[in-house]
Amino acid sequence: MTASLREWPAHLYDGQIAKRKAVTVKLTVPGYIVVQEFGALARYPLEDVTVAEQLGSQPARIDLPGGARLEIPAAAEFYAALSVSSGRKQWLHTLESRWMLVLLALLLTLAAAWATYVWGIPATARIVAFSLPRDVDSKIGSEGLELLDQYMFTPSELEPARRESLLELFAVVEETVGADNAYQLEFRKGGDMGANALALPAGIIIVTDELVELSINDDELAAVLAHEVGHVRNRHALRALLQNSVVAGLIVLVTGDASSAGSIAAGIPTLLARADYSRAFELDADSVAREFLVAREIPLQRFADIILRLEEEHGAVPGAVGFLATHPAAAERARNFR
Amino acid sequence: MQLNEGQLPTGGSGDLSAALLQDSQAMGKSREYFTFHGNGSEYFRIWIVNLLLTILTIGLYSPWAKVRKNRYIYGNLQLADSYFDYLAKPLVILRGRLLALVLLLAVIGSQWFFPSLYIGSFLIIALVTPWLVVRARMFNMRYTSYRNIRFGFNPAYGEAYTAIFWFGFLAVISFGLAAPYAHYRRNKLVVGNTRWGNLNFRLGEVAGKFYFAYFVGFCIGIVLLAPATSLLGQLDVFAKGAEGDSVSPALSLAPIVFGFLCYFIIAKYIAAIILLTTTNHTHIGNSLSGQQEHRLGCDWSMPAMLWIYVTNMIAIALSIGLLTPWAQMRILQYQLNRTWLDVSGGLDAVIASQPQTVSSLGEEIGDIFDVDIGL
Repeated sequence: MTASLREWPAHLYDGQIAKRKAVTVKLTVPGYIVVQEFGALARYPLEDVTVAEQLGSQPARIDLPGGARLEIPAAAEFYAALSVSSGRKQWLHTLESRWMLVLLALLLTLAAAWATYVWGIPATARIVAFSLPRDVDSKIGSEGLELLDQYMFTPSELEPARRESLLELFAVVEETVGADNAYQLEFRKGGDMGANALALPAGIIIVTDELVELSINDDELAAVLAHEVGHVRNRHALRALLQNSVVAGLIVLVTGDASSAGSIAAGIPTLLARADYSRAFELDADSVAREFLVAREIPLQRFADIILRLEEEHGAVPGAVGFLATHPAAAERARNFR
Repeated sequence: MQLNEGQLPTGGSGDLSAALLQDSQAMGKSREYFTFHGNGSEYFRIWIVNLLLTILTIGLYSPWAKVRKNRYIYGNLQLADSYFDYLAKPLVILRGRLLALVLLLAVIGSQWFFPSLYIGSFLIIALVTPWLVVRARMFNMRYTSYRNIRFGFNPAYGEAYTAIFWFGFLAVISFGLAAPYAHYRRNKLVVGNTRWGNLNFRLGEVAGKFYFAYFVGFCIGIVLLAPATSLLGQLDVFAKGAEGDSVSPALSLAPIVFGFLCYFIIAKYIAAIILLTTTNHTHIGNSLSGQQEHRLGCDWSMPAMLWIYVTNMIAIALSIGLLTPWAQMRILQYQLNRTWLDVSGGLDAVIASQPQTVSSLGEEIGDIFDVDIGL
């Protein structure tokens, strides 16, 4: 047998019983495939057979009409001949067999994944969040407050007069940086949460009694309130939900496996992405606090003071380095306010 | 020499009786070893191209990637001079994945908007788990073939609910004492309902060996953890004494890392020994004719397997995942090249059974919520 004859030994399985038959296979010039067994020939037009794409160095497989199947061990030669006689190219296999192309693919993969993560997902989430009606997430906010009241908070023990003055303080913040959103200031005793302030999507901002006690003056409280207003104004809760869902969804789509919550392989990237995105939102909200302080000509140091004191109160988390922590390290944030 | 247009003179049902006759003459017994031809360098290139195209298409290529990956693995597995093959169509898988994605987003959405529904959705997922397991298995077997004869899986929904729910429940209320038996019942479900053509798979009565596997895993756990915890306790005291109140971050992470490593080794050990037991007691035969009775076998060494698992994990971690394809090929090479089929009565006379179409929805939802039950 010479190469010019383009004839290869092959196995034929008829699809009805598991018996293997030894045959030879030929490609003839006008686009036929010829299968020969003991002098008997069968000829099929190439359009009527399905040639599986070339893959690694495994045998070529051809589905014949009627359910029979050919296995040709000399795959490389066969596909080369097929390409010459019928012009069918094996693009994927070409890509997979050149190391230079594979390295290029590797670099492109890393770049594409990085760009999607850093720009693609946040930008898309931003556009979607701002194009949704403002009250789409109001239900989340009210349900969230109910849950917190049930499991975390107890009613505030602040004097009515003090509350009144804080509401007036908040009105100033709202007027300065509120940008026409609806807000609702709530007072609660933090319990296990301690000194803290948080923003819920519906524009609900909660201040704990402990935070009010921790503050030295109202400027500090106003700065924290402005930070929370920043979360509401820039729709951080909705954007975080969208971004985290997209990351989880992509992992599912790509791996076909959303054990993401459970498995280490997908779980850690999801958690890291969540923390990383959340850190970006904190810095974004800080910039609103800065905007407020500048507009009201309050020293920037006030915000640095209160967040450093908050960190002291809660204690730095051991092992939580800046880039891993949900909130960026307070010291790093405070530096932006000096 | 005669020329038939588009039809082979041999083959077809007329040839069947001749083949059966020929086969009954060759009743000899033989041991056929599996040979796996996949290798890390080749598979790495396929894997990276799959990954790139998947990312560039925001995930839409992933069913094609999955088919190409499975074709690479199945298509490189050789037994008695013939190859296995994976035949699923990417578009069918894509449809299943998109549906599964919609369901996942519904679960995430309900978590956010309606916390009460969220718990309900988990309950529903739990209730359909046995159904999903069967559907996933049916899909995978339906699209696996050897010698152009497809595998199959019986729609044994009732048995699936018994094995997974009832024996799972027994395992819980017996404080784990029934867990090895429950595991045995799950494997019996998976093996016992598999078919290749007209041959049925059967798992032998080996529940006792499952107990042995769990017992050995438990002993390894005690041997590893007892000295380790006391050592770590001293380290902790030392760190606290030196620094006053704060523990150094690296040291405080050490028990977590060590605990995870112990858990990994024990879990992998139990899984490997159970897979070995299952393989060694899988019979493949036809109860009607009784002429063919094949048996799977393997002789994997447990220390070698553990060595491969641990070094694979280290290699994957150090290469930020890039050595994953190499690691996958490495374990497959080890296991498959040490697996055989004791053939009795020949493989040639196996007849294809009626084809059935199975949607991939079950399989893909199964994938997504991680309900697949390994052997």
